[in-house]
Formats: sequence, C-alpha cells, structure tokens
Amino acid sequence: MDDDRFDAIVVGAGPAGITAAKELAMAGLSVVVLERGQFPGAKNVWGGILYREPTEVMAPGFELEAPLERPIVEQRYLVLTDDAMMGATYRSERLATPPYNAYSVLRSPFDRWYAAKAEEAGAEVYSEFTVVDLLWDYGAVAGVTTGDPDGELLARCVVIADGANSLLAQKIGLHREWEPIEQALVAKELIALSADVIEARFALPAGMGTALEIFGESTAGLLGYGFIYTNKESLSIGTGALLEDLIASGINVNDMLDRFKAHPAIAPLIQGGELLEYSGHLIPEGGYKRLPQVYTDGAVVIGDAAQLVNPVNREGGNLAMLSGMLAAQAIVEAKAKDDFSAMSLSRYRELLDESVVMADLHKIRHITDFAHARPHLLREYPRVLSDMAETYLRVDGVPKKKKQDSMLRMVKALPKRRLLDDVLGAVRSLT
Amino acid sequence: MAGAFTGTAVTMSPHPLAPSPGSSGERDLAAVPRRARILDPAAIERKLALNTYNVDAARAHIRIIDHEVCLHCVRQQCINCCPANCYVPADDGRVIFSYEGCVECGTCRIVCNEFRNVEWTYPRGGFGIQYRYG
Repeated sequence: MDDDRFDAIVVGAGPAGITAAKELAMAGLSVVVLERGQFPGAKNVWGGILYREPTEVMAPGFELEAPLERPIVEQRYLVLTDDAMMGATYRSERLATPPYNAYSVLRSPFDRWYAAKAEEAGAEVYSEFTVVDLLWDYGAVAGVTTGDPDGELLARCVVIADGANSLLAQKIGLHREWEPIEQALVAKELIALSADVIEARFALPAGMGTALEIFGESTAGLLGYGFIYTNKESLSIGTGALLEDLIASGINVNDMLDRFKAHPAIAPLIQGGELLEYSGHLIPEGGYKRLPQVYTDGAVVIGDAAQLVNPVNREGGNLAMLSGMLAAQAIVEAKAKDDFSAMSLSRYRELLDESVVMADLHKIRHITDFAHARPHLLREYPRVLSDMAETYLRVDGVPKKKKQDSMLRMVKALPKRRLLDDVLGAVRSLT
Repeated sequence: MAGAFTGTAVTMSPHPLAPSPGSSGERDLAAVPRRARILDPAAIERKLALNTYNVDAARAHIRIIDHEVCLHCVRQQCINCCPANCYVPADDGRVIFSYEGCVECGTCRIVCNEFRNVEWTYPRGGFGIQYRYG
C-alpha cells in the first residue's frame, strides 16, 4: 500500500472531531479533517452551555481568545403548567467569580475558532467535503470517499465524528438505524435583544448570564425540556422531546416551541426580540444501554456519533471533546505499534470506560426508561403542585388549617402505589 | 430498568397542541388522515426565511423512495415531525417533499420506521443550511 496515507482522517468538524484532530496533530501524526459545511461549525447546533474545566483541558487558555458569550452565574429549574410557573433558582458569588463554571456559547462561531486551533497544531482542515462512504482494504477501514472519482483519501485510521445521525457508522454496521426512542428532536431560536434588556429582564450583573431549564408545558408535557440561555446580545430559546413522544402525541416541535414562547411566564422574557436563526437538531438519548460499537478495524466513533450525551446534566459537548481526546490517545498508541486493528483500537473503549464519560452515562442509564414509562410526571404533578401553591398563597378568609387539609387532600387524591413507585423509581434511576 | 409502573392506568386528556382525535387509529387505507398536522406551517416558513442556505439546485439530498408506499402509511409521521415543514400531505394521500428548507436533522429518516421509505443523505459539500450561530 502506498505510504502517502494520512495517519488519520477525521470526518466532521464538531467538538469531538476537532479535539481528536488537534490532539493527533500535537502528537505529531498527520491528520486531515473533512467538514461538509462551508466552514467548520456551519452544520453544528447545540443548546448553548460550555463547561470551562473540561474545555480548559482540551484548549488551554481558551477563555482569552475563544468567542464566548456570558459566564453563567445562575441556574434556574422551572416547571410550567398551562398558566403557572414554579421553580428553583441558584445563584452565587462563587459562580460569578473566576474561574467560572460555564459560559453560554454559540456553537458555529466557537467551532470555527476551535478548528483554527487544530490547524495551528498542524491538522489540515478542509471544508465543503461531504464524506459519503468509507473505503476498505482487506476488511479494514482504509479511507474515505466523497463519491467523486478524485474524492478518495486514504488513511491508517478514520475517526468517525459525523454527529447524531452518524450515517457512516451505520453504513459499516457499528449501529443499526436509530429508533425514535433513541433520539430527541430540538427546535431552537436565536432571538436578538440588547445586553441592557437581557440584564434587566433576568436581573443579571453586567456581562453575566443565566441558564434556565424548563419542564412541563414547555414540552407540552412530553419527555424533554425547554431552555433559555442568555448570550451577549441574544437569547437561545428552544424545546425538544423524544421523537417517540413527538410521534405518539402528533405534536410538531415548532408548534411546541411557539406555544412555549407564548406562555405567560415566558413571553415577557423574549418580548420585542428579533429572530436571527431557527434550527432543528437531534440529540442522541440512547445512553449507556444503547451505545453503539465505537471501534472497528481502522476506525473509531466519537461524540454524538457514539451517542455520548448526558441529558440529565446537560452535557454533550464536553463528552464529545473528551471522547475525541481519548480516541486520539488510542490512535497515537496504535501508531506507535503500527497496529490499527480493532484489537489495538479497542484501547479507545477501554479509556472511555475508565473515564468520567462512561461513569456518568452508567449512573443515569435508567433515566430515560424511568421517565418515559411515567408520562404523568411532567403533566399531572406540576398541576397538583400549582393547585397547592394557589391554595397556600391566596389570602381569602379561609382558615389556614382548612387550607392545609385541602392541600393534603390533593396529595392523597393521587394514586398511592403509583406515587410510591415514582419516588422509588426516581431514587433508583438517579442514584 | 427499575420496575415500570403497572398499577392504575394512566389516562390523560389530549394536550391542546395534539391533533384533534377521530382521524387516526383505525387502519383504513381509503381514509388516510387529511388534516393539517402542523398547526402553523406559515410560522415555520417565516423562520426558515431567516436562515442561510446554499441550495443545491442539481441534487435533492433526501428523496421519498416510493410515493405509492406513503398511501399505505396511516400515520405519515414525517409530516408532523419535520421541524422545517418539508413534508406536506397531498390531496391524493401521497406526501410531497421539498428539500430547500431542510435543516438536515435526520428526523424524517428515523420516524419512517415502518416502511423505511426515506432515502436520506447529506447535501454535497458546501450545500444546504449554513448555521451562522448554531
């Protein structure tokens, strides 16, 4: 075989692929990234929260130069009924003091910057190339093709980082077609508002940001959540649910988003804002139990393509980056042995298993099944809590003892076995 | 998993956003539901108009493989699931697809899980949606 092969071809310039390319280039390997968008980031969408610590590991000093929006100094968990909002807010001076925990970030400009860092490290990044298939040599992945006669590129190893759909990994049999219960669909809007207005509406110190995760009516009660993240001069607002639930309910995700935006507790937050961009994207929700095979002879699968998302803690980007780094480490070891067989690349899965990625995915492995089997969680309980709050808060001449009794009756009216099962199930699936 | 609840059946009234009942359920090929599944398709079109696309006039990256097959699909969930209103019901029971506003999410391919009648590829390099913010 000719030896102007690259050591590695990375398919897809997302957080996973760029990290892998950067790490490989820094280790002295020859690496090329193929991105199908007009620039790295052009096809990339996410909710919008970047965690600092894991990012600092991948891109030391990124805070000084990366396009970041606002440090996140506050977290709100909210629940909506059709006419009410309730929730918990946590804000602290510690979160508002460097080193920050997280930033709001726009995926497209960030990835464009991040890909430039990979180029600085020595990776070649080419946009406007869609990889349509992998090339084979004696049963091992040996390169990629764009479908054009002159679009073939050979490498010792291919890093499959083509995102949530991962057509390439499916094509070579590492996973079957995704089922609707394994993917969530999110619709998101970027809404322009001035910094002053954002800071006034969310009671934020200048330049600081907040993150709102919103359950219940934000998804029409389906399994998923809505979110609002504050950027410098815009809000990221979106909502999504498991495809399985969207199918069963017949609800379109954009209708869901528009209803969420029109909710009496949400509308004032976005009022007067101008829409800049509308996006739709899948989030892998298969988790630990449905993880595809992540390596084969001559190839590894990283990031969303490997379903590495933690929906409970809103983590996907950092797991993608970490998986890219671990894959790069395995490939560097494979290069030293000049052995890119599945056996050799299984080192990547080993590193993944030892890492926080799999530890966290294992911990929450039951959560989707738990919540999906209980459609009442996000519809019935918020209603009961809201009714209890109305009773408690309203001063109307009714003696407090009587109010307390009627609130207790609301709880007692719930099916007891089910309530118990919900509580035990929640404890089991989250601990 | 932790034991799923098997006690009292969960019954809930349909959500206001859910399509009106009566048009789904029984598998009656002559009466494939003809209602608009997306409540506000015009809202989607207005939103898509703000996105940046480089439409590939020479190639549709997604294709309904056999339009006749859609006649046998009672649920036609591509129509209500697509976030970009790319699938529209035709009067004759078939489904009309247009790829220009596609956001390349992959939903239609995954929800067509009964007939696998969607051929789904990515646009050629440089074509399709280009997110400025993401």
